[in-house]
Amino acid sequence: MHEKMADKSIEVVLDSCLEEILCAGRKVEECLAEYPEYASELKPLLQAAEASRCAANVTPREDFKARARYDFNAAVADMAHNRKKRWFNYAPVWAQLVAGALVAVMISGGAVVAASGNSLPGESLYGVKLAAEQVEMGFAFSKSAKSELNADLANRRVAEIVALAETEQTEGIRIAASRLDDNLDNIAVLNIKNATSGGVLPPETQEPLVTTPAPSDQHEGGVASYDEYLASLGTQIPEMFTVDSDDSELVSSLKIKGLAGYQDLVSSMEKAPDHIKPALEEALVAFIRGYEVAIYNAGL
Amino acid sequence: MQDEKTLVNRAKEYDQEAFGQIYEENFDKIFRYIAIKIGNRMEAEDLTQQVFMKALKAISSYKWKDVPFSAWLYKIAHNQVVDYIRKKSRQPETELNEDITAIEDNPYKAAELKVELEELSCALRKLTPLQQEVISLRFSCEMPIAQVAQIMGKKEGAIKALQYSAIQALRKHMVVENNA
Repeated sequence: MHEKMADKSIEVVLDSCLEEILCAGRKVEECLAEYPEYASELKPLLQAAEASRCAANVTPREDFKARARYDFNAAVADMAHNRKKRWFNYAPVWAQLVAGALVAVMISGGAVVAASGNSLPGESLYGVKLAAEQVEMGFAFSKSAKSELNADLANRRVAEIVALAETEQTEGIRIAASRLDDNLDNIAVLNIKNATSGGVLPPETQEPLVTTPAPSDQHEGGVASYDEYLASLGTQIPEMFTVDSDDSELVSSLKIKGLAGYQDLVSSMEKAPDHIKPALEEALVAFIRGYEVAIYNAGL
Repeated sequence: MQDEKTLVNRAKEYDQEAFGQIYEENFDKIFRYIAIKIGNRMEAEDLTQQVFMKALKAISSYKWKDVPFSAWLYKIAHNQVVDYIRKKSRQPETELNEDITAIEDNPYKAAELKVELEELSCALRKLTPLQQEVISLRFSCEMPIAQVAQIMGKKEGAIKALQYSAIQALRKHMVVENNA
């Protein structure tokens, strides 16, 4: 059936047996017969795995599922309907730019643009703010200037996220986090070398900088460890933001800006109420991952 | 993977059929993932529905990154569970009683299922968070090791080692509880 694994570790043999049991429906006894040299060690493990699998074989009630499916379909239809109405939020960037600029010029010149400076996602002037940023981007001519401006814009998104967290607007945080991700992606793509599209991933992304919540492994019970996770973030500055003597001007600048944004986000997470924390955590993960790739590409 | 990407892109446009397909393919798996972590089926039902509602609200910000879309759903589910457990841990100790007759027609079967699930959930909570995650993804969703590795952002070898230590620990805790 498959090659003997006498020279393999118990972890590999166990996994091979589990694969056969979980995916091919084989019996525990069949696997034990295949690996007699491991049988005594494997047996209790496979039995525990089998017991876990049986206990985990639960399904939701059919009537609940039917009702939930109905509610979900209604919510999808509702979102689709609302989306059509919110043209401005989904119009192409050039259309937002033109519309935003026209509104700004027609109503009161630069006053609207200035007033839009502190607007947040979901507010009426936020589109104007984004349009003004696009104009600003149009005046950044070099790759380096565009990268710097994108880092500044990413930090503006961080400021928005902090403000939104204070007013407990989860959806707004997610919108700002998505734009933040775009800004950092732009830096990565602007500085890409020897690639046709997309960002170049740094080698260390195999191990995530921030896992989804990454509490202490020592924790007994698996609960209430989120606070430990937050506390640990406060004292650990990711190494990628440490400026090295041989860093280019752009890389140094990105690291300094990145660290400022990182500290603002962590500080906001520490103060935020529980229900806001998952959205802030997503924003923080996007921020760290985005900066990781951006700094790596800028340093190539 | 390309088909899934197309499906997700359609869902991002709020295509009802695409969302329906994603819902059907993942609902039971996400439910099991949550149920074994919290040990309560009725609460798990509500949390599962919340996962899909959150996914719907946030789909516009989702970016395809060449990992299964379900990885994103599991991440939302994980956050839901963490939030739920934190809230529970701050409330006064109450028994997580559920009306088992509301779940199964056969009360004996229902009671057996309930006890098994609670035992597993209880033993699972004594593992480290990473061990919990491997067991949840592997046994509740019967996910291949390669996909577990992809979702957890680790190498397959690391997941195999984690799986080994997790089952060892799980066995120890299940045996202790059964003997107690």
